[in-house]
Amino acid sequence: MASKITGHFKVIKTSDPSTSKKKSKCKVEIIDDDTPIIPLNKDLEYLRQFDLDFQYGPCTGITRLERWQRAEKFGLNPPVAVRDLINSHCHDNQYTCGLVKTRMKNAFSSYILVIFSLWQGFEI
Amino acid sequence: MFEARLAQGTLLKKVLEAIKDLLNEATWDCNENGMSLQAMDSSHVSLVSLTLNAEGFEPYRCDRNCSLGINLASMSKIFKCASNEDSITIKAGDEGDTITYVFESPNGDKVSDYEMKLMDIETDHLGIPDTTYSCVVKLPAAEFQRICRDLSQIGESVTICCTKDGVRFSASGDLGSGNIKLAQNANVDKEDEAVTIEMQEACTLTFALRYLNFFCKATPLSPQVTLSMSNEVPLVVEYKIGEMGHVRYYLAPKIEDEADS
Repeated sequence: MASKITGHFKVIKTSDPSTSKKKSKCKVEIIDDDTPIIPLNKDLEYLRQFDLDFQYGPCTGITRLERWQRAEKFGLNPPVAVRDLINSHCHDNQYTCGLVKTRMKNAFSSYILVIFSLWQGFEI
Repeated sequence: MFEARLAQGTLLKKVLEAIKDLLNEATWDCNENGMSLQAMDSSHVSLVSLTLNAEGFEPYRCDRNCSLGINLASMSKIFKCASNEDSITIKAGDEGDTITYVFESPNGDKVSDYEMKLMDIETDHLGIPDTTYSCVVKLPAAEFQRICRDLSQIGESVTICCTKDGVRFSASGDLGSGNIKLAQNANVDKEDEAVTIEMQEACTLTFALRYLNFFCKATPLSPQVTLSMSNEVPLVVEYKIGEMGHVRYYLAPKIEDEADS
């Protein structure tokens, strides 16, 4: 089985096409989007990327730190920088909560939470 | 404004041939020091890192850093339109979404220019740690190409075993097995044909030949190839690009027990 090069070298920078000055002419623009765009700072964006990285397991229902610890336990080598960031902002929900939690808090509130817990109940 | 002219255009043609089969598209990062490119193949098993120093170009002008997303197959097609003797100039404006290649014949009688669309490419940039490798083997690039090609007939992967006596390449498959052993011979008169081994400790690693065969497309670039290896870390296959840079390929080793984990 061939191992992946990403298992040996860590991603240090993800280029964002929106910042590159050369663009192809055809691109999809979402004009009518009712969720407000909250600009994330670099650290929060980095944490968000961690949330979205499937290799460290599901991100719902647990805090970022719990997820990091679980990944560590399974020997997945989650980036230490993520843990340090969380620990250095341990009283800030934006840093400690994972993606889903933060978004729910911001956008949907308790209504969604009720539906979510009902749905989870069915699963059990 | 970015502009770089290479008198020896054939070098760029060879560079393209060396990477276009492994990478569909890649971002060229241009700054005042030169042009560079880092990209993984689509399966994320190997990584290509390419550097062309500004000193190799005459003239070289890069007013501001820029990233040029390029479809390498298209670029290679266009470069096939250049003769080996032609000089090649690469130009990109600050705001444009195209890149222009100009090919000039040595006496200046024939000038052709081709314009190509740039692309938006989302890429991950990997941090490559400085590693001191246990074994560094230098051998003629053509010899390495031959070994990879021959062993591809036998099996899908090659085990490289490096000791102080020499380096052994082995493959096995349905039809049997094969071993190729190269002894160190630093004493030959021709430097290009030498096989040299610098070794801290012996190592044995297994790699997919499919990727090594892709790397060997860089053979025309350089008479010698350098293989750097340590147990359990990616192999580095390096070809020098004249005096102006290098192309390095990184290949993750095959791991026996990965399927169990």
